[in-house]
This record gives sequence, structure tokens and C-alpha cells, in this order.
Amino acid sequence: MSLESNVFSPVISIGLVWFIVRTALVMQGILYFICSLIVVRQINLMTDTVITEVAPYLRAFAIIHAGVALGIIILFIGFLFG
Amino acid sequence: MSFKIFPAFFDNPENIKLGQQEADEHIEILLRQHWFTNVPWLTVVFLGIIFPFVFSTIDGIFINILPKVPGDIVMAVVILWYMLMTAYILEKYLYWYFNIYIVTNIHITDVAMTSLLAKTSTEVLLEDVQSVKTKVSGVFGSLFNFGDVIIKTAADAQDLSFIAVPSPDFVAERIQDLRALVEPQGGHDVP
Repeated sequence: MSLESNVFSPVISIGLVWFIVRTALVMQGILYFICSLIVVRQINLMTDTVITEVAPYLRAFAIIHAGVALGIIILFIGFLFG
Repeated sequence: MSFKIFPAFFDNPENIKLGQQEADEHIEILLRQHWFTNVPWLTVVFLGIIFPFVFSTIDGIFINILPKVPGDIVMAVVILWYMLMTAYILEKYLYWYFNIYIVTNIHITDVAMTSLLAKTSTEVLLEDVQSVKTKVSGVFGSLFNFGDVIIKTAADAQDLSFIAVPSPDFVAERIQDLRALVEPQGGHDVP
């Protein structure tokens, strides 16, 4: 086998594939956390526009949701790379 | 018929206020889209919730790919799937919850959360209202009594549409009554 065929026929190990998948999953978790922060901001904006009895509960829910999203990133890092 | 989880019609609500409400202004009607408009996305949510179970069952019978994937990755994908379902539910519910049509004794306001990053608010004076039209269409609209209320305003003001609101005829009549109350008490043209 020539040197050229070795260079241009990449051999990707299955371990590398799973590493890429794990990294992608953690990245998805981070994107979800960013999305949850946008939800917090948007709920604050909307509850300032229309003030209802439910507004404090919605705000609390959005903050808890962002906290859970952050927890899931840590969970993913823990059991995917731990 | 309405579900408490999807409250869509408030007549003279006492505990709801607009952020920039005037001192002598009070809300007469607050509307959201009828609860039935949530059925399509709720169906998607139901299918999304059962999808992992259906997929694992089908995989066990025909494809058999899951045993070849590391367990931690399968678990992470399942968690991520349900996170995305939660995001979908949140986005749809908030979109419904914050798309509000408000009729006060002075204004008609349409507050809309167009996406997670955008908000629009359209306000017209009641005295600028020229005509109010209702449109109930479709089997479910007739069955559950919801439809559109189209409010035509003076030429320089923007028209408003209340989409798929409960009891559109009642809403239209109420807007016309309020319009009559704020109508300037000028003299009539002499023929």
C-alpha cells in the first residue's frame, strides 16, 4: 500500500465517533441552557407588559427551568466524560 | 367550556393590569385564543412523549441498533429529547399565553409574543374604531363558539384582528357598546 493511499483513506475509530457524539450532546445541553435564559428574559419582559396574578409563578418557573438546564449540562459532563 | 390551564376569556378582570395603563383606564375584556387552538401542538407533544418508547419497541423487533450504542449516550439522547419537548411546550404555551387582546374603556390593545426573541404591541383608541366584524368558520369554530373579531379603524390607524377568540359576537357587541360610550358628543350634520 502506498503512502498516498494511507494519507487519503482516513480510518476513524468508533471511539472517536462516540467522543464526537458525546461532545455534541454537551453542546446541545449548553444551547438549551442559553435558550432557557432567553425564556427567563422574555417572561420578564411580557409580565412587565401585562401584569397578572400568575406572573410571579411564571417567573419562578422560568428561573427553576434555567437551573434544571444548567444541572443537566453538569449531569451530561459527569456521566458522558466522567 | 374552558380549561383552567388555558384561561382565554376575562370579563372585567380585577387582578390584571397593563404595564402602561392610564390612571382612569380599566380593562373591560381580556382575551386569548380559544383553548382549542392548542390542540394541534398538544397532539405533537403527545406523539413526542411516546416516540422514544415506540422507537425502542420498533428497534427491539426490527432494527436492533440500540444495543450497539453505549448506554450513557442513549440516556443522554433520551434526556435531550425530553428537554427539547419541554422547550417546545414552553415556547408554544408562552406564545399562546402572551398573545393577548385587551379592550379597556379607552384603548384596544393587541400584545403579541411573536417568538422567544420578539414582542409586538398594537394599540388603538376606542374612538378610532369604525366597524367591528366577526367571522366564525369551520366545524370546531361553530362547535366551540370561537372565531375572529376584525376591528376596522380610522384611515390613519391600524386595523386589529382578534384571532380565534371565544364568544366573538359578545366581544364585538361589547366593543361597539364601549365605542358608543366614548363617541364625541358633537352635533349632527344638518341635512
